[in-house]
Amino acid sequence: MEYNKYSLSFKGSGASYFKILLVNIILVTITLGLYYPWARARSLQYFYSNTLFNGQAFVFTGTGSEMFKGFIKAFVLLLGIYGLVTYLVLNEQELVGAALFYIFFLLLLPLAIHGSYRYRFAKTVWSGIRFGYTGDKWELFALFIKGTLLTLVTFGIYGAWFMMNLRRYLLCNVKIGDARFSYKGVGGEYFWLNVKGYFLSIVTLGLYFFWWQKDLYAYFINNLRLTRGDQTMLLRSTATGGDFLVLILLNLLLFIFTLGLATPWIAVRTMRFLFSNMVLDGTIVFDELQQTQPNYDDATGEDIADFLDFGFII
Amino acid sequence: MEILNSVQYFDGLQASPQSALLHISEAGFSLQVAPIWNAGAPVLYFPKAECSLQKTDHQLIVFLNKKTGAYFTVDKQDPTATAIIHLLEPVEKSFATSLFKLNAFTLLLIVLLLFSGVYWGIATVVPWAGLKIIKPETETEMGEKMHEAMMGDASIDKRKTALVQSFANSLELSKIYPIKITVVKNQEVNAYAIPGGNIVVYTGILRTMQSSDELAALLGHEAAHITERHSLRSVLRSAATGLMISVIFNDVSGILSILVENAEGLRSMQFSRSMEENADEVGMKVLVKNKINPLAMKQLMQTLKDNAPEMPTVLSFLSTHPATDDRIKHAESFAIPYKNSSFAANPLRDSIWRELK
Repeated sequence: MEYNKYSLSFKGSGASYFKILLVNIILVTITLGLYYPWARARSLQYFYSNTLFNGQAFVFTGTGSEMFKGFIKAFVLLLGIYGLVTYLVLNEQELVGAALFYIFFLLLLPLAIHGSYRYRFAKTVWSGIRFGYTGDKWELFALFIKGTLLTLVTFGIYGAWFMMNLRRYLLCNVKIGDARFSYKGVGGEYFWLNVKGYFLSIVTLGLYFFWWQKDLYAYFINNLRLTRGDQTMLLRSTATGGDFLVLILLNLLLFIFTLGLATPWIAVRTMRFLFSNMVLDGTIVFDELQQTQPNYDDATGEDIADFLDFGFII
Repeated sequence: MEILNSVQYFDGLQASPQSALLHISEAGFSLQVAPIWNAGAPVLYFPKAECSLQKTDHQLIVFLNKKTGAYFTVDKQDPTATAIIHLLEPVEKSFATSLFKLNAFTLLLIVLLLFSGVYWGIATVVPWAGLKIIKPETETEMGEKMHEAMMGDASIDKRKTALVQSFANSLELSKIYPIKITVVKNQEVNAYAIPGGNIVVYTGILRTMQSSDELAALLGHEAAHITERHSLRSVLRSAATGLMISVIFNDVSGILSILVENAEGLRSMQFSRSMEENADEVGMKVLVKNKINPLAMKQLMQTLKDNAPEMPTVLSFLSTHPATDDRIKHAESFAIPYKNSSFAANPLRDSIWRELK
């Protein structure tokens, strides 16, 4: 088997992303928010088309109208929940309202994550080959409920294990064509990594924070791999704590001195930073990837996750 | 339209892109995976109705079939690009496209203009709708609950409460809200209004005041806060601001917290300066209606101001009701037209006042 080095790069620019954001804001504002799904599709398409793996750009094939359908469903659902909770709070049923609120979101979140992963990966295409998410809704649901309850009774300590179990489950079910991702991070290591980061940050008056961030990023990247039959691709982070210090402080200064106007530049340089500090190598022959994952058009989960600002990174 | 050009074709089966020749006709695209067009070789045909276009910074992506996921890409600079756009998007109907032709600075200006417009709209509509929707009875009901909570550990002077209540009744302070007085035993020079009809007066302020007219002025001022719905107006105004902020930052849960925060905010209400001046004015109108010289309002402010430095306790009335020189001047000028009006002493109120002292 042949050993290959792969490249991942981002070639978007702050100026062009800034323009996209401005146009999006204008259209969303004058349509009283209805344009939002199309705006989101445009931002995603921008980020995908400027991300190159082995010189070949990613393609986001999702459309505004697909996401609009999900947007309306998610909006009605969340409006119903907020309406009910508001009604209860106004009628002095604060406790019932709050309890209902948390229970509802506990049940809704795993389903939203599931839907979001299904949609987003089905719409992610590289070199004509679709990604896909093969996880089971109810398995994720069980994992989520168990994790939340154990995290609550252990006063948050189990959170590290919960987080890693969730990440493992989600990432191990992501495929690109006939190649499958896997993640081997575990709760114990992740827990001590955070304990160490937390206490050393306090001892060093916050300076260690950047090295802590470096460790977290490396723990994510280094434990991730892609396999296809007996072929593998490994990922490795080369970012140092010093790199993170420069990145984060500069981003902060940029944000403050431009009153937030530099946000698109910050997003772009962060993407560049993350990609350029990653080494990918292994034996997978990407030209041979086969299409195996089906298309999936329902964006409701994606839209709920977006409404709740849950982000996509785990 | 007869154009032949080389494109990158992704067949949706395997990852490696293939060089293909593209032929564009009125009805759709024909592709042949070969270096030169061979009339005898098989041709893939895709009707334009099943195709869709995505324009990125650098290239055009033409999706050929949703099911198979096949697509081809051409460079944006490629001569066929315009023909492809023309075929799939015949009319330049997109408003977004025309916006992209503007420069970033112009776009930023439009955003700022839009935001100020939206802010103005929300700041006008929300209070207007709120004042229409929330009935005075609801306000009274809510105010009653707040009053109960606030009076929890206060010691109430029952005798003086009854006296000031009958004093207030003689003034006809409000036609809509039931004005209810509570006198609290407290050395602070303080009095405040709770939305819906309750007025709380501290014994400290009663002792400081010098005449029954000053008491009438105080009650007139506080009752004006109630009848003019100043609390509700403030809450609605800050709710509108909060709404705007959470819309900008795209934060749904923020809207819920506005509700909670403002319910809290009612308790520590601070009125804007214009609301204070408005309350002075409405209060003075009450005085005129009751044949009391409106200058009593000015005297009240003067008394409270003069007594301020000597008062050892926290002067909360003065801090929440800044008796500025401006307000005194404002009261003075309001009183000018009534200079020659006749004012009559009211025996009932005078006797109540003597009893209070």
